[in-house]
Formats: sequence, C-alpha cells, structure tokens
Amino acid sequence: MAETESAPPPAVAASGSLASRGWRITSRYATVSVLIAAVIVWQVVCDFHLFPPIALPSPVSVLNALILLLAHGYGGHSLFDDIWISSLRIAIGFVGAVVIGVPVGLLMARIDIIFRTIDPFLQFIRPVPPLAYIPLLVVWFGIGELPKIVLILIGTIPVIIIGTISGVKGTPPLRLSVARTLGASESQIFRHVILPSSLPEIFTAMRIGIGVAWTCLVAAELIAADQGLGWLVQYAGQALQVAIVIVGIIVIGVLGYAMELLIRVFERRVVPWRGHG
Amino acid sequence: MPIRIEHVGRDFGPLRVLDDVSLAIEDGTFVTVLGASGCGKTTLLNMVAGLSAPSRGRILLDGKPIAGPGPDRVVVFQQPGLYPWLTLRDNVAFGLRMRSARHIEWPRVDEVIAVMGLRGFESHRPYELSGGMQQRVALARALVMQPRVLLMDEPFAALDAQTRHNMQRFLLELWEKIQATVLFITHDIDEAILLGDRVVVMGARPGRIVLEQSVPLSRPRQWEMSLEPAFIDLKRQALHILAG
Repeated sequence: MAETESAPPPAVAASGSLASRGWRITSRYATVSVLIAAVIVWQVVCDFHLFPPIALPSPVSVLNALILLLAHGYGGHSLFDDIWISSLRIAIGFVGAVVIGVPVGLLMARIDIIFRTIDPFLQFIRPVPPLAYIPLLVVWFGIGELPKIVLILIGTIPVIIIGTISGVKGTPPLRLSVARTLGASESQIFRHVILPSSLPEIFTAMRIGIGVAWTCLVAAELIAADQGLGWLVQYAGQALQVAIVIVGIIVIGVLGYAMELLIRVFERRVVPWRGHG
Repeated sequence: MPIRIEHVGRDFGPLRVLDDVSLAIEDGTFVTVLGASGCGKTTLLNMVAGLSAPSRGRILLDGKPIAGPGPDRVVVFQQPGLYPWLTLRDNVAFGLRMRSARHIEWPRVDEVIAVMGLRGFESHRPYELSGGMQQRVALARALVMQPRVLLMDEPFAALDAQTRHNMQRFLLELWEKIQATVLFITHDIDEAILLGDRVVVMGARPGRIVLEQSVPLSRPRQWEMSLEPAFIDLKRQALHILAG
C-alpha cells in the first residue's frame, strides 16, 4: 500500500502488473523451496537412522553414487551409455508411433469402413497393460532392440490415433461452412481446414504419448534388457545398491520431464494459435 | 435477376420451419430479412448459400437451380470464422487460393484489405485483432471473391453495441462504393431498415414472409434518417408484426 501511494501516477497504473510479477517470482521460488525442503527432510530422516541406510540412503550418498556413476559407470557401461540407448529407443519408438498413428487416425476419422476395421483392435489393445505383452515379445523377438520398440508402439499408437480422430471430429463446423461457401473442394477442406484444426489435439496426444512411451520402455528394460536406464535400476536393485537405484529413478524422471518440455516447445512453434479459438 | 426463391419450404423432421417463401433479389439491391429468432431466416439463407437444400420449391441463381455452395454466393456468418493459423492477408486470400493456388490476385487482395481499413495489419493473426476487425476480415474474405450475391447472416449480432454501430456505418459507406447485391439477415429492426433497399419481414412457426416493403429513404443513408417519419412508420409496421 505504502509503495503504491508513494509511487508517481504512471507507476500506479503499472503496480498491478508489478504485483503479479512479484507473485510469479514467489511461485517460482515455491518449486525450488519445496525441493530443498524435501531433500533436507530426507537428510534429517537418514541422520536419525529411522530406516536402515541400506533401504534409505541419504541424499549425500545418492550424490556420491551419482558421481561414481558418472566417473566409472555401473555394471560394465557408463551412465551416458544407458541414457543414450534409452533415449534412442524412445526416439525411434515415439517417432514411429506418431508417423503411423497420425495418418491412421486421419484415415479412421474420414473413412467409416477403416474406422470399423481398426477400432475393435484398438479398443482391445488399449486396456491391456503394456507389461502383459513383454513375455510374449521376449519369446517372439528376444531381448534385442525390436521388442522394446514394438512395446512402445503398442502403448503409444492408440493414444496418438485417438487424439488425431478427436482432433478431426472436433473441427468447428463454422470453419467447414466458411471453406465450402468460398468454393473449397472436399480434399482442399481436409488439407487446409481439418488438418490444421486437428493439430492442437494431436499435440496433446503426443504429450500424453511420450509419457506412455517412456513408461513402456522402462518396463521393458526392467524385465528384458542388458543396458538402458530400466536395466540399470533393476541390476542395481538386485545388488541392493539402493543409492544407484535412486539415481536411476531420478534420471528417468528428469529425462521424461525434459521430453515433455521439448514437445511443448515444438508445440508452441507449430500451433502458436492454441488457446486462441 | 440473380436470385429467385420460388415457393420454398423446409422441414426438419416433422417440424415445418419454412412454408412457401417466394422472394426475388434484383441486381445491385440490398435486401434485408427481418425476423425473430427461430423464424427460419437463417435456414432460408443457408439454402441460398447451398449449405442445405429446400424440402419444397426451388431457388434459382441466374435461372439455374442452386446445387451446392459456391464462391458466387459467399456467406459472412455471425462469427468471423477466421483461420487462426493464417495471417490476416492469407485469410482474405483463402477463397482465391482455393480457386487457384498459383494465381492468387494479390493486388486485389491488398486493395480489399485497404478498402476495409485493415492496412498495416496484414501479417497479424486473427486472435490479435478486435472483434470488429475480425468481422471486417471476414467481409474482406467474402468481397475479394466478387460474389454474385453477398449473403450476410446476422454479421454484427455478436458485436458490442458501439462496434455494431460502427460496422453498420462502415457497411453503408462501403455499399455506396461497391453497390453489391446483398441478402442480409437480422433480428434488429433499425439495422434492417437503415441498411436495406427492401425489407422483408418474416413471421414464425412456420416461417413465412409477412411483409415486403421498399425502404422509402434516399441514399446515401445516414444514421439520422432513423428519426424521419418514413423510417418510423416502417419500424412501427415491423414491430407490430414481430410482436405477434
């Protein structure tokens, strides 16, 4: 209040935005504060030996495990090898799912017979947890790269297809009427109106899909792999190296978050009109 | 006589929305259709646009029955319906691009943009424009096609009072320049009389034409004409019909 009164008139008008900027800074600090507080609580719990250190290593020993992993790796390969191979599997699986899922979704939305042919399979695959496919995929494809990528496809394609269909069906009728009265043909309407109209929903599906893909991959690596972040967590767990397990979990979480952010950046560039009708 | 509507009726299921509507629109005239909401006036316009077909009767454009939508009868809707992924200039050029992507007549596009007072905003996206400007872009997008008949479906109804007033004045000035053939749907009595050469008043359930009257006001029109006795007389008649 005192600040507002002492400020000259032009600044008074701007004080609203200043206040909201102040709020934004506070809320950004909130994230960092909660993180720091959580680590401190974690450290205090460890210092009081409430749990055996083998079950709950302290933040300091997790940090040491991270340094050890960065310097020497674990189980025969470095942390970066595991990150690289997992990221590569995700990239191939996810890009494959988008490349297959978007055109299939577009066709299903436009052509009824294709919808009726594919939809039952889609609805059958969807409720089955991806984990249930792993034994089958191992029997069929071994423990190489193929089963992991197939699992990512199985998990992610339905998400992309459903988002694409919903995007096409959600095209505002007014946009279609406008194009018709301006003389657009059906194929022009599809290309110049329906396709761009469905992009925001396709991006939403991609953001959900990248999470699903990541979950599928880590699950596959936990069970049938000899490298990758899922394998790292599983291998260290068997050796009761809980600090390394926690490092692995943190890396998996941070990478998943980074992928989401990457798609958001991409989305802002491709559909800048999102949220503007 | 570009448009002839002959004994047209339209049913939605068992509901008779329009019953035996006949109307002729001459070249270069501005015809306003006035009616309460639900009287079928938008249904009538959609059939002229070719977006739906009559259940009875027929609609002729230059003597040929209307088979579907086409750029000779562009519609300006109540909402602008602009494409948010296109700039203002590309929105205006949309119809020309559909006609021929290689030979867009950009000078004509830029001329219409200038006439509509939108110069300087060519690279803006629709969501960066005010509601009134968006509706002017929609009008520019229609005019650039040089339609035989311009169809307007309550184009100013979604705007605030001040903007609507400005748009009506703007349309009057514009019409003096281009003298287009216009079919204009509205539920606003003042708007119908002020803009129209002819006012068609519709009754509801089923929709039908109750009054068809030339507007006895000279052109160019000004807002002050709404105080003239001839205006008030016509307004009284229309009010009487709309009140039931």
